[in-house]
Amino acid sequence: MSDGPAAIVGAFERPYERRPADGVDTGSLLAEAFLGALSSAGLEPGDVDGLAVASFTLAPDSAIDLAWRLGLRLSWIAQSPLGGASGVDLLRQAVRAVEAGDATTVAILAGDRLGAAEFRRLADGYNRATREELAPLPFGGPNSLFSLLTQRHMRATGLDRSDYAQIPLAQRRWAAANPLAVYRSTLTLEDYLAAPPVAPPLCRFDCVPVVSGADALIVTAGGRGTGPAVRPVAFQAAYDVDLQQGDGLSTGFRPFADGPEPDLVYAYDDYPVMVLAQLADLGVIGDLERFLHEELPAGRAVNTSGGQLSAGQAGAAGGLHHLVEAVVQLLGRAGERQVENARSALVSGYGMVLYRYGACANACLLERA
Amino acid sequence: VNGVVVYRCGACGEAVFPRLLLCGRCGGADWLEEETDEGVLEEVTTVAAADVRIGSVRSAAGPMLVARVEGGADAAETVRLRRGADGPVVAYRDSR
Repeated sequence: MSDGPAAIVGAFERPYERRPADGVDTGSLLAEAFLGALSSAGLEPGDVDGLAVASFTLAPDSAIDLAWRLGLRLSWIAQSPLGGASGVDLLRQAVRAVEAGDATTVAILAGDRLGAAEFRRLADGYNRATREELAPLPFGGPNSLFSLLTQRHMRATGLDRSDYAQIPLAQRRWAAANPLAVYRSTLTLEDYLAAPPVAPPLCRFDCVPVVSGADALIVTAGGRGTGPAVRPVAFQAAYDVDLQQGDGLSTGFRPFADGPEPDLVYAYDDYPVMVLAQLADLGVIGDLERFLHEELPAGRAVNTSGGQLSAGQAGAAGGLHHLVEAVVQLLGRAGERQVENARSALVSGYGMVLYRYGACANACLLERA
Repeated sequence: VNGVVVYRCGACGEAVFPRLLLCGRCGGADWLEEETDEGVLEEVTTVAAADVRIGSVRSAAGPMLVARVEGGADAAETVRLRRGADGPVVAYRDSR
């Protein structure tokens, strides 16, 4: 039996770290995120009967091993391999499961402990095509592919480096007010333009810092949990829409049906160019110049945690990072960076480079209940 | 010097790289191997950490390839394609 519409009642980010202590592993990071999210919801581990997991480094364990290690007795379980798109994927699955009555309370957990060696293994062994055709180049991870994509975007739009810079600059201003962001110091256009190249035109500030950490959400229905809640009201997803034969600049997103502009906007920010590609397809960006040079500098609420570009990318936690920040904002718990009167948010996920660019895009609209 | 093998659908003629299980255009499962040894370098970058140049190449056979770029070839240039001894697709400046 269903208890009515599903809602998110808890959200937590286990602080990201560039160099986690010995003894911290993917399982312990996920456990900390789990307990933090439960605590934020006023719930106990025994209340949870559904578990959804995304992690690149949990293997050889899977979601059910994690359930065992967390002491959970479950009626529903799911795992998403979709990386940067795993958060929205699992949220959509959890909402459906709760509304169908398959579970009453679902914990969504995503995280990884990633050192330099694990990251290289992950990048070179991402899928069969990468292992066979990209790793031997050697391609140096996804930075080179997104350099090529950014060059295509430059040709299509006429933007230059000082335009793309507006995204990491604006996100760093938000990060300054986020104690959980790994980079919080001021970033200027001069710093950006003088930064070491990674794969030109991409520089260090166009690429996410690799960190270790985990994120978690609690989804339930029927008024469980002790505080206010956030309701997911719409989802969309577009997977492998062009079989990798396009230019990677079209994500497959469509604008959500007419409604008021969301107060908060979160776009998966593995690279600045993808923020623009997603938000253009979602109808959030009208004019690129105005968005970059007027709306962002004026403090428009986009990627208010500082995003992965400043907060860090903890592997598969990147897929949940923006959802956690959106929920924290909508619940009014964002401290110094709280956006006043925020009642709605749009959150997008993107990821899974098959050969040339990401093949997965998904998005949701959230409203404060 | 051998070119790079791409895969052409035996049913509808669509060419792909890398090889797929089924053709995304017609659903065909029979692939004909076809060597392609030329293309146009559309974009190129240098991976600073690995000191290697990587580019997108529109192969003469059709599919887009991600290639190691050798011999100083620039964007918009016609390049030759081969399989390097260590496996990867290599695009190099045509000096015929």
